[in-house]
Amino acid sequence: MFIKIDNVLINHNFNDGIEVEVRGPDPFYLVELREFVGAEDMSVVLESYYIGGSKDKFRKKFILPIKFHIDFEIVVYRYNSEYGLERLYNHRFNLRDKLVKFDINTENENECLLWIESVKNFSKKYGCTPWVVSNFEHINQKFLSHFNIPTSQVYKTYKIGRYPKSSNDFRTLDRRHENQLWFGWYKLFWSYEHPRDYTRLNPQELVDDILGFS
Amino acid sequence: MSSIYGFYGGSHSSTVSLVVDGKIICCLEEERTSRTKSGDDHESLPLTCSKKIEQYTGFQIKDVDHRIWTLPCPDKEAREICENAPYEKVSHHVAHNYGAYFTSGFEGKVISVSYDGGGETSFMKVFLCENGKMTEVLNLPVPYNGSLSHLWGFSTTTINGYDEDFLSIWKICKDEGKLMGMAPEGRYDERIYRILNSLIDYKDFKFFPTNTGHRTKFVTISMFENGEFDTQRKKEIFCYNLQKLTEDLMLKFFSDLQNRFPECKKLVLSGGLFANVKLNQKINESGLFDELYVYPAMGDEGLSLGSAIYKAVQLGEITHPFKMPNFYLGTSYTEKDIQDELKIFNFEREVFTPESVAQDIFDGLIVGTFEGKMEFGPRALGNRSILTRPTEKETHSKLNERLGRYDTMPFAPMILSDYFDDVFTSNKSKYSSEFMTLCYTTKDEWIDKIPAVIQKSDKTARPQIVTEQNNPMIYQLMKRYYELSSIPLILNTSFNIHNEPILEHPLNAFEHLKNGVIDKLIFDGYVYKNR
Repeated sequence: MFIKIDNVLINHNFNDGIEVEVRGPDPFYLVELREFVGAEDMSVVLESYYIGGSKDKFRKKFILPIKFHIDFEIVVYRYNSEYGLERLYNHRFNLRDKLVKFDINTENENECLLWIESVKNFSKKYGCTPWVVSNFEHINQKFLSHFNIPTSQVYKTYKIGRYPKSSNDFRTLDRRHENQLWFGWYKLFWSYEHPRDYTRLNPQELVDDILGFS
Repeated sequence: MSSIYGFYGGSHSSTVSLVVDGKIICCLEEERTSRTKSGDDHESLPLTCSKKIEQYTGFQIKDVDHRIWTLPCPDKEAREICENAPYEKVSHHVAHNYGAYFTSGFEGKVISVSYDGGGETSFMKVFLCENGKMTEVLNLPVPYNGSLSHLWGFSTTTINGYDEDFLSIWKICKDEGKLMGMAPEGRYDERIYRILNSLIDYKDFKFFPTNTGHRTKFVTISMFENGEFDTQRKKEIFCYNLQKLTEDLMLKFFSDLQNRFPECKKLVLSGGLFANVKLNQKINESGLFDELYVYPAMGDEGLSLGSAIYKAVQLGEITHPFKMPNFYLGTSYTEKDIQDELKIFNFEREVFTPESVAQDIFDGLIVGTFEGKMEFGPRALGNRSILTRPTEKETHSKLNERLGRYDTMPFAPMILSDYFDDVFTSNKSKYSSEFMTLCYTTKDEWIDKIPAVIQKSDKTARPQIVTEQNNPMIYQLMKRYYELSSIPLILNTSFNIHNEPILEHPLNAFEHLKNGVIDKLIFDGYVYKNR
């Protein structure tokens, strides 16, 4: 759903990574994804893009396909010819009272149950309502039913499983950080699905990584 | 005693340096040997310069006692260049500061500051130094700080527009000097200053907000689209305010630094920001410090030497700062090296005498020098230079035309050391000025005498002090020129045409002679000219 601020339409969606769309009369908008690191109140820039408003040659969407948990805010700016950067919109990622989908991708029922324990802990910690979708229907039924949920209300989706690196996972061309995703001059990720190489993690470490417990 | 190779690579300005038994033997930049300007290759590796330095010095990389890479390090390629011999790593800003402090020759209590657009994970490190001991006292991590270097870099990529593929015409880490050159022609503009100040500010040892690079790019692209760079005058006004903001913030920072460490009256600078000779002038003349030294290879090209020096200090083979007799640390060639190729050109030649070349310069000829070892760092200091008389205003456009360049900065003068105080208003930090790292204000009576080397709007020049010790050939030549003209300065610019790195091989110099870029060429004791 778009939010309208001062003739500018802004939409964000966190179900397949982090997407921010901006439509408006200015030539460009700047979108910053800022992470809250540790217990600090000050966020730091993980990634930013300028995207086109009225300029066709630029993409309209900011897309960062990180699917695991990070604590972040989104800030949208426009250019003000008197003052420079003008903050137009700010959204602090907040799971409280939100519907959150957990796609659990394993054929091993014991592993599924182990991961669901982490999902429960996560939901309790952040005060969100979990919707679990696994390969085991009897487990799913213990949570919200598919049929009762309007998917447009899902605030965030987490994918818990083992996802090999894809070609998109070599975003950085910097050979000094070969085979890693390098963000904000302070963070290295193994892929957009896993902060660390899942082949070196046990099932508990894997889910902890994705849900930000590690 | 040990042999040490230092390296930097994986970004712009790749280099390799060799230190043996605590002595600097050779330093080479990849751009000189690959012939691709470092600003055009932001993923460069020290490949061709590593081969060249092995060939030139006889020290094989795999066989020396120590190899040390500056962080961030491209490990896969580092292993290949070192042929799987082990290597160590050193922090980016540690390498900057070690290179700078140990070549400063400063005794007593010293502050060493490095500041750039982000090396490894920091924008800046500050060290307190005394008697060869360095203690880190400040670190500005990238995620929590902004960088003035980003403000410059990303303004550079936008101000002169884009080609049809939306690639910037001026490049980051390459063309920032053009903005600095335009700045004195502009004027203060409250709105522009405020806009730039919204991108970066300074207080209490922090530069903020963060993300200066992307924010600058965004704001300057928006300004470009708004037509705010569509005349030369508008660009000059933008550059003036960019330079003023840089000076204002850095002087606040250095004032805070001096208040915190009042016992340190000597300052050493490194990192790309201090390629800004006008900023360095402000710091030098601020009265905050008694003496300033700017590392001649202040950008990332100086990291390989800094890392090798760091290792030599660890080993106890360098214990105290030393003065560099010069910065001619690269390769050299003799006639014998190219005698077969030279026959093809069929030039006329005569034995070099200072008198005859001084007469040529007095007569307005443009003379190239390819003598002795190549300079290390961004400045040509007489060994790979183009020299001519400084007395004609038109020389600026004439040289730009010959070299196919678009240099907005005036060309720089070399000055005989004995006459420095006659021509310039300040006489501080002369050692640093042997390497052309500072601007000085010219005395009024000299401005009309040497218009080709003065920025008339602010009366500044970027002199290189020539002494009999640091370059005997140029010193003798200038003495003879002075006898003819009563002018103790000559114009010096780097020996390269547009988009070409400074020459490394003499055949390139002879090509330029053949093509009329220069009128005469000094090489290995002879003066060559076309028949």
